[in-house]
Amino acid sequence: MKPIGSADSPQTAGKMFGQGDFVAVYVAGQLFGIPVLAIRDVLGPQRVTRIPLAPPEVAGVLNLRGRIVTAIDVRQRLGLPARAHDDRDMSVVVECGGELYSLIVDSVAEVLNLAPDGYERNPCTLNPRWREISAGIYRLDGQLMVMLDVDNLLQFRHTAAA
Amino acid sequence: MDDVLREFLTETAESLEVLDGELVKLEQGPNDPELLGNIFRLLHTIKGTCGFLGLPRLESVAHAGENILGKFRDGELPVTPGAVSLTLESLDCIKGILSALEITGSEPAGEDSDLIARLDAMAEGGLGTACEVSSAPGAALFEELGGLGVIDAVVETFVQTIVADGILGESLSGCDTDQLQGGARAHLAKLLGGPSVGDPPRSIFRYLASRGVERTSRDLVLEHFRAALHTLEVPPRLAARVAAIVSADWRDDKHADADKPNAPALARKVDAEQAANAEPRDRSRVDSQLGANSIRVSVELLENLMIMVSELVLTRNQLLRILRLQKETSFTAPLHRLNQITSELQEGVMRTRMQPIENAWAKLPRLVRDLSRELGKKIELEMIGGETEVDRQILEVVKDPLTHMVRNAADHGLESIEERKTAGKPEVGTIRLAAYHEGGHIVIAVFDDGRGLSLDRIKAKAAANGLHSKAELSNMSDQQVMQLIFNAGLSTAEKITSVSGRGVGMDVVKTNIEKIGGSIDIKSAFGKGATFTVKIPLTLAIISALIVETRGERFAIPQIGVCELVRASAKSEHKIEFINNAPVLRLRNRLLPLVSLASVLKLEGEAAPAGEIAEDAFIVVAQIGIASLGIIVDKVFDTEEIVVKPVAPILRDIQVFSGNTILGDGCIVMILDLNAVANAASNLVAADEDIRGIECGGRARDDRTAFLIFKAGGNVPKVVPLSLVARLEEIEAETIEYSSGSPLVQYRGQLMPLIPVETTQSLKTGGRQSVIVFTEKQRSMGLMVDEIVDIVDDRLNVELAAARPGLLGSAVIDGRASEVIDAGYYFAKAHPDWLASTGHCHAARDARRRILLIDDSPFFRNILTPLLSVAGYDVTPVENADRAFNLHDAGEDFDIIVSDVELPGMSGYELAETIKKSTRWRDIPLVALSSRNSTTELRRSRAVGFSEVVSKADRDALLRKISETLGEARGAA
Repeated sequence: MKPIGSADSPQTAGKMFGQGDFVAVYVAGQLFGIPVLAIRDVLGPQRVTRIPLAPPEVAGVLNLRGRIVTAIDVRQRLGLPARAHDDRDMSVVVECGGELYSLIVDSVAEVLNLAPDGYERNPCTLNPRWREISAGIYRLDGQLMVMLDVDNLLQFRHTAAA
Repeated sequence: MDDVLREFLTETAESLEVLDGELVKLEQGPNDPELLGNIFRLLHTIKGTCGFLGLPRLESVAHAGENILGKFRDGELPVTPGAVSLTLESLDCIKGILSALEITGSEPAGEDSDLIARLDAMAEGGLGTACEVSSAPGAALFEELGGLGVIDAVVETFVQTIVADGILGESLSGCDTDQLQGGARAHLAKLLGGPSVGDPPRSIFRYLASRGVERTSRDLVLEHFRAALHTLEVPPRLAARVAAIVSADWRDDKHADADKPNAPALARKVDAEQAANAEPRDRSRVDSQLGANSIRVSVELLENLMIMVSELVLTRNQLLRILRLQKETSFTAPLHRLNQITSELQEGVMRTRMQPIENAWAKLPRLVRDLSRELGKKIELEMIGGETEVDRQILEVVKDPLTHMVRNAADHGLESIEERKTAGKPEVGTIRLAAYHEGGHIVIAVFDDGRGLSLDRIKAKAAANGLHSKAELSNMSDQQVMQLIFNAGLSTAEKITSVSGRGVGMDVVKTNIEKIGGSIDIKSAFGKGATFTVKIPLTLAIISALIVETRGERFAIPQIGVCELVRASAKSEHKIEFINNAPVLRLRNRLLPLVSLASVLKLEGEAAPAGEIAEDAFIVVAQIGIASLGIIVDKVFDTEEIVVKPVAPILRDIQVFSGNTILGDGCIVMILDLNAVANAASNLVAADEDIRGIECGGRARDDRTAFLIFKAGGNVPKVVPLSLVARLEEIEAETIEYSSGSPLVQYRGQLMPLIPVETTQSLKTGGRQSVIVFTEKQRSMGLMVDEIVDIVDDRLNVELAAARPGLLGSAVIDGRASEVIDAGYYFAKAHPDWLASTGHCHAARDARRRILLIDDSPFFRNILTPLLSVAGYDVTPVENADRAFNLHDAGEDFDIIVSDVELPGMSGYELAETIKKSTRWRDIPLVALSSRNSTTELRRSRAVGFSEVVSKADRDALLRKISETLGEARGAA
């Protein structure tokens, strides 16, 4: 998957719930969908520089062809246990507000083109932290996919302060 | 918007800015035809272009303004402040229309008939002229100076000194000095607003330039001119004004030179070079033939170019790093060449971003003029060093703070005319802006000769705003008090004027300056004036930084703040020592506070900062404001040119990082903000104390104190609390002198008595004598000892009471029975009047008032009881809360209760709460004694009912607080 050239901001792309192209990624066994239009790059394991005093969700920063990209540990963001050490992780680089962020996920599955009829709102039983980052649920054959709201995913200053 | 319109907007905006300045100048020197011509031309161009582009509204306003200027030029209308104001108003109107034009692309609807009518009326000579009889300041200057006679004398002296000067005289050889003098006299008279005289005006400066005197000698010539003014005893203030006008005149001369057909090629060459270097704004002032040498480039393009160069620098660094790892390769030569070219390119591109600081000042003459009218003050603005160049980006950042500071100086700094007269100062206040280079920085100083900062008002304001308590304020140095104005919401102007006090304060100025790695400093003399000095880096984009490592992570420290590097190890002379776990370093007779970078950044393993610091460490000595701080790091790499990139918004809350960068090896490192590191370090200490405070509350208290162990007259170790010790010295035995049989030594410009610990102790006759120095209120006392043994942390538990004076008793310190020395006893011996002097002022007022002193430490009870007794109080010392309540039950009464906050059994806080609940002791004021001084503790103490909190070590403060508290209690009763 190469960078997909589109000037659309993730703001609009992320809000087009339930239709269009999505990249499916796995985090702790759960399938998440990220709007293709928000994605700038998909990377293998990277050398990440840790940042002292940063919120726990920030894994560090990495050098992507001369640009400095902030790496977000999605597991940490979702309140999930940290990954076993030897696993090879993947990074999905998204752009938000002109800045690049690299979302560290377990693996990247495939690109899905979704029709609107499989889309559901968030169930009310969903954990508040998940509800915040989920733009809805999509019913796939055999499993459910959480639509990631990238903007909200990157808004965690308040949680960090708590 | 089409390109033509955009071009028109930029050009007109530039012209208007120039016009603002020129008009103000015109007001000062109303009879300068060249200046008038220039102004007229500028406005005429604007008017013409408006007509061409079909902008009728702009055209009509410009036309009306031009009318007035035409009359000025033809001498039909005198240049009065009122007329100039009106013309400026028309410029403002044009600006307003232009900004709307910029947004919408078309002229806004509206009418300017009122303004135009007034302009026309003025042009007819009807309005305002009658009431504006006062002559322009420039004309006044001519009169003030003493008319033509003085000018004649000045010019004569001036020309003579130039002719006498070796270098300058040479270029004047063979010319007719009489003719020169005549021209210069006429020119100067005209410049100062006087009438025109016989000879055709001719600037001597221009004449010199035509004779091949380079612009670099300009300062020399001006110096001669100033000297001439001085010789003729022109009052200094007047002389400064005249010199400023002449200097400005010569600076403006460059375009006038080009006008003259007979100006020699040399002068033109100089001007051409200048024009090429000058930023685009200058273009409109330069003759059109020179215009071909410069082109207009959008800032965006330059910014992009700069980013590309930054990237190139990074890549170059990367290549150089690889090169260093390789022994011999054929790439060496080309890479070195690449390195060189990159550096030159970087420098060149940086220069394109450089602009004279004048650009940030362009609006100030107008501002000051408007302010002086609005505030009814006479203000003169002097600007020195406007040609100093700074990075465009920095210029943008300092523009507003500078404007604010000038505004402040005019509004708060300078007094009203009446006040100035009463103070015996000249009516006209001076604001001076000066910019110059200093060691890779730009320094901008804003000076005003006004009233200076009123420390009392700042203090009162700070107390009223609850920023600091009165007691804290009284302990502050003047410099610290001045720094308070950088706190938010502290404006000392008594009334909010329309000029300042709009909620934008010096705090914003400071934040803005610090954001770009600069600093700001204040000097003030009450009644004489104040100077604000701003120090800023030359450029922001590429900085030189020191790369350090701690706990395996690398960081960049901007070289600008680094003074030196020290390698500390247990064996070398630089050894990290600890005072109550706080690391310090002795560096050239100064004690440097240290902070471990790992603990500031909370990297793992910082739980026990004292023990964790490696024996071998590097210390980066940094200058932060007026203080120095040593930052302990594990490793230091070399310095590298780094390109500062802003951190992601998510991380912007982390204060200690000012940015990040990519190093030569492709790694990203964070750039430390030294100011923030220093802040974090002091917070760290506070937090640390809080934690320890909680711990103490939880378990049996553990008051470990640092002790100095030494030997004197015998083998029994003696100890004294380290907190009482000022310094340890070794004194050459030969330098010891005697006065009436007692040994003393000259120490830091004072005589310091030397006291032996034991009377039997033998004095050294040769070699070095170890001395423990105690100081109290500028008095020093040296305790002569045989040997300094160690510094240890231990609990003080005096087990045997003292058998003789000078000893508090015996205690087990560091596993050995030691004698605890009573420093106060020796101090009193050295300065017999000491206790009396500290005590008498308090004693007189509060004769025999009763104090209940609760402290579990016999050491402190032993020190404080005599101290308070001598100060005239009746002291009852007890060691715990139970004993205190026994006294309560026994019906005892006290005027004040002084209690340690940490007591065995019931703590000081609980004690206070219980006392406040009791019926009899409820109203007795409570003073808390604390060994720490954290704000949390302060708050907690206040909450439970202590009226004051005093540090245990600070006897003076204790006496003062007791006296104050008693005074207040009596006042309230």
